[in-house]
Amino acid sequence: MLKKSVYVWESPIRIYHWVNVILITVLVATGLFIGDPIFTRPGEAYAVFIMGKVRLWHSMAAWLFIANFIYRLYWAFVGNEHAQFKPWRKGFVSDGIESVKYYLFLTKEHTLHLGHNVVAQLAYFTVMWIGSLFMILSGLALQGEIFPGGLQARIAGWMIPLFGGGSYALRSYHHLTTWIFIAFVVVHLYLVIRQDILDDDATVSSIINGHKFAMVDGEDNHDKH
Amino acid sequence: MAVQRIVVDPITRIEGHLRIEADFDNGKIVNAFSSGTTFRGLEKIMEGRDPRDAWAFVQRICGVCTHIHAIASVQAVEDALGITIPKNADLIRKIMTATQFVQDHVIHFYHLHALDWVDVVSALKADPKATSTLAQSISNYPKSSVGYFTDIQNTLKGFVGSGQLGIFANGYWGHPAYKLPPEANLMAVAHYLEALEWQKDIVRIHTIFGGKNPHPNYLVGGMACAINIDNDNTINMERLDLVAREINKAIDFVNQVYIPDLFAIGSFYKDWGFGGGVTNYMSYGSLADDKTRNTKDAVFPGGIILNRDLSKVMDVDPRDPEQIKEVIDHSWYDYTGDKGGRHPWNGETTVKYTGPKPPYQQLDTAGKYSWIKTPQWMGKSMEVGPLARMLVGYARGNDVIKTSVDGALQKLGVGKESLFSALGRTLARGLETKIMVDYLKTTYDALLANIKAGDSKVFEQSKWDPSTWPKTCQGVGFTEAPRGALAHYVKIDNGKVSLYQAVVPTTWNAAPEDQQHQKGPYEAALIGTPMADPQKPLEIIRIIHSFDPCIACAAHIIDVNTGEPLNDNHFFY
Amino acid sequence: MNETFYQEMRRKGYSRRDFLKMCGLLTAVLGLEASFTSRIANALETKPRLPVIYLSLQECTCCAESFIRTAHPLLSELLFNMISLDYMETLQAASGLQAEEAKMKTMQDYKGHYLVVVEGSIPLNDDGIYCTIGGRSAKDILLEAAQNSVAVIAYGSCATNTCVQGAYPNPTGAVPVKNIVAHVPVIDVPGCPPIAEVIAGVIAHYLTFDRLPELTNLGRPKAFYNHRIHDNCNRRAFFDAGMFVENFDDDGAKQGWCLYKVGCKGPTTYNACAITQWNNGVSYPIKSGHPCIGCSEPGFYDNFPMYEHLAHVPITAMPFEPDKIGKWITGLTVAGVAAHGVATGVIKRLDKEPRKDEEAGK
Repeated sequence: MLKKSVYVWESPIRIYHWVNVILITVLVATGLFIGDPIFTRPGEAYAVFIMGKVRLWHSMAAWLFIANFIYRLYWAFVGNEHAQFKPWRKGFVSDGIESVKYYLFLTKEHTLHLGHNVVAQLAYFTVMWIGSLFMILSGLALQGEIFPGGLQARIAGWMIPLFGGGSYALRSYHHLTTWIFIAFVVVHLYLVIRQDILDDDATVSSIINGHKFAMVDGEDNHDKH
Repeated sequence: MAVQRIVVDPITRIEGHLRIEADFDNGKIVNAFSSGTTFRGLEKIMEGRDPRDAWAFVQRICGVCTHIHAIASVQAVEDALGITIPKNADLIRKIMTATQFVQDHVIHFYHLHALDWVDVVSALKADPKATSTLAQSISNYPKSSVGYFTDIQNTLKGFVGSGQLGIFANGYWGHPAYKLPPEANLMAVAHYLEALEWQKDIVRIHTIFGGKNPHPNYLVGGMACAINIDNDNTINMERLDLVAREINKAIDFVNQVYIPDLFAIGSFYKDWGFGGGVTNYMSYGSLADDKTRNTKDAVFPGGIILNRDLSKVMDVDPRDPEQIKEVIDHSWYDYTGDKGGRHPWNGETTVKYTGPKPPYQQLDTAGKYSWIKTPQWMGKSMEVGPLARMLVGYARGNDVIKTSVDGALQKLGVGKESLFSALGRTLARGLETKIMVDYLKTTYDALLANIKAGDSKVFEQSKWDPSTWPKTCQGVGFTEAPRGALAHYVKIDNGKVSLYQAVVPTTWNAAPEDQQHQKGPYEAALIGTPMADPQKPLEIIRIIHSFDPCIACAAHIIDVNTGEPLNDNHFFY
Repeated sequence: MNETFYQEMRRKGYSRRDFLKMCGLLTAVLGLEASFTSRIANALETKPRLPVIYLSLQECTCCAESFIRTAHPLLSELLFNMISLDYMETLQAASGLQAEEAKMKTMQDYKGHYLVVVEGSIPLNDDGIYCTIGGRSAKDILLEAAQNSVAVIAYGSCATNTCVQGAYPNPTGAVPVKNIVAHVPVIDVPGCPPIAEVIAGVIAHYLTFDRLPELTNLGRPKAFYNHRIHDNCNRRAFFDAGMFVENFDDDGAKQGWCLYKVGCKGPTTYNACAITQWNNGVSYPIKSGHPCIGCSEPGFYDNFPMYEHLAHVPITAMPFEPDKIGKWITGLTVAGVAAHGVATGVIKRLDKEPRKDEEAGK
């Protein structure tokens, strides 16, 4: 069984990933604090600006998050095949069923994929694309409340009546989605480490240097992607 | 001449939607039916809510009685949880209660009731000079010059001359039941406008302590308005000074305008002794001492008077299932099983609408005809409200009330029997307002003295957290609302409201008859009243207004029986 | 607006002489002295005051109470100089038939030129039996009045979002005005009740500038509902500084700190409370130490408990805490991942053993 090193994650994807790691960490931490400011500071109001700063960081991280999101969207069109999500391709469904079987221990080996398998692709699409888009739009709508008629309100103001009228409900779902991101990170970390251990294919290090190991003996799996 | 059915719907200048159907024969009303025509079903909504939030829901029973329902609610929850509120909170709530009495009674007198006695168009014919003389003879109110009355009259002339009569359009102007001379009418119209301007100021006392009015904010366990006389963002001297200023203005207004007007107008109508109605009166009593909590010697003593016999007072206990029962013989509800009366604690309210489908011309008054239930004390209809309070206080020998009532009767030159009438109610309301403005001042002074003594606590924290509550508990909050006896009942299971009920003043007064055709107070008060013109129901609205109806309160009492499953045709009222 | 009475008479071919004669007659009918004729003539030559029909439907009258508290303009100025309040159950002199006649007259005489103000929601269940006036359902009354009006102001939270009676489970089927009125503009003026000067201001805005006010994306006048209470709160500095009241009457409360942590809904509530303030600028709930309860927002009763920040599960009154649910989701995920990890280990081990046997067999 021979292995060859394949360049899977192009550098823009890797940069996107690590920027996102930092931004999501900051956004989750600041977001949770804004929702429930667990420590308060005595003293004079002019001397401290905790909530103000935390909200500023949240907002700055959010703008970068949007930029990063758009950057990744661009790369989905110009990047290599691993940067793309094509549910319409032939074999997508059957590959998906195979992937589910694999994770349920129904098949021992999964059809090896250099990039993401179909389950992973769907998970990324739901959380990292739809989820991020929801967080971006709801976040813009909430920020837009401060600037009625401003850019954010014009882009995303329609979100507020969509969620039962008041921004209270939208805020709650913005909150709830934060936790979905947290849960996603847990699953993500588990699966990449597991993959690395089971198949010894350098999944973990691939997000740093871009290279994964692929088996070259027998038939080539590349066609299936 | 055959019996003629008169329908008055809407009765205006009241809160809510009231319909009166009266049988008219031989120049007189021979029978009458009172029907509340709205229902909101708040009770079902209360189920499973946090008891600390309950006041905000039930406060919206009524925006006129905006304060007192919230007070009864927080009292009921505090009673259930065993919370004793700090002295400051008690005093602040009492100040707010007295404020509401004063504001509400003045609005009622001038804006809801006066046009039944005052002919606005007649005021156009008044001589401003004579009006000024009249005004100065009864009061030292500064606004009583000839120029002042001339201005008012000119405004009125311009208004009438425009042909757009607005709220005065289609009034009963020129009706023979109006008895005031033009000058008295002009003075009353002037004070109608003055009262309108003044009433918006006194409620600022609510705004200081509760943040807004209507519907100020309250807190189970005390009040939310922190007191810190050395801070700029809390109750400090400036805030208290504003309260003091409004209290002083209220004292002036009531003494210089309301009370003199009441006697001036009353003296022209003292022979119009109609509208007595039922002969039983009830008061739960309120504004008791915060330590003894004894309602018998409270500012408004509690008790029952039967058959207008002021020599005897019986005690009333809203908790006693034998004393207070609600019957539904003529109300659009049904009881499963026993159809007799039920105490609110085991009350049930299943909607059973048997009335006509709208639009309709006439209700079937032989059957059910109202959204209002019929509450009774020991099987008897009871009148509640200012007159009941003054009578019970009088019979209890309360010095302040006795002096006040005796003085008024003497001034008008009438006997006690005159109290049992529409005018008696209106008089009692005025006397009570005078008692309340004085009470405002003493309570404000008590609050200041307590703060001065170093007490700034307004909230009892110990039982705020639901984990400190008993698993199940129940409580009652009873008090006197401006319109009469009010009680809220709450049951709490696992930190949530499982039962909430309120028996409110207008339910007592606007009740339909019972199975034995024992009439409710409104109905009884109308029977026997002569009418000059059955097409113009001035006499009817005059009597109904003397009760100060509040139908939003009456017609959706919070009666919930959580044992019942919810289905489409099963509502609680 | 409407042409004046005089213009209408001239258009119909009457002379000025006829007009003055009519004024004299009217003076006599009204029982006034002859000197009133010129005054009446003058009134009929000038524009009529804006006729207003104020409907009270399924409500608690807090809005009417607030309306009469207006300090600028004073209610008397509004009534005598600006509008003609031709129907308002709470204030009008006439009752019953006479009251209904006054309303009908305005609807006929000022077709297309009168304003309708609605307080209260419209209960639709069971043919509308839960609110009838004069034997007619609230829906009928509203549709009739709205039909030829210039606009409908949905005044107060009952009319804009059904307020308390529309809270779960909404037993009477209450709906807001905008669900009933379709063909004339509806202006939402929410609040329980709205601030007095706000409703007076909306009417005065229309009168003064001759056009309806611009509305926010939620259909409310921008002049009063453009910003959240939070954005203009007098305690905002303490929010930004992270200085919060933890419990009522604690040290923070006695310093007037931010009420965010005792459930304040100011950050999600659009209203003029923090700017205009209540009862002629005296205070507003937050200033007086109580958190905002969000009374101008749709479904605010189902966003309770009042003293916490809990959302509710749609179409129920069940509150949920996003953080609590989120922690559960994360906890379950961690547990699932751990279980999957253990299962992977066990299966791998089982896989390897027979392989060894195979190798040994070779």
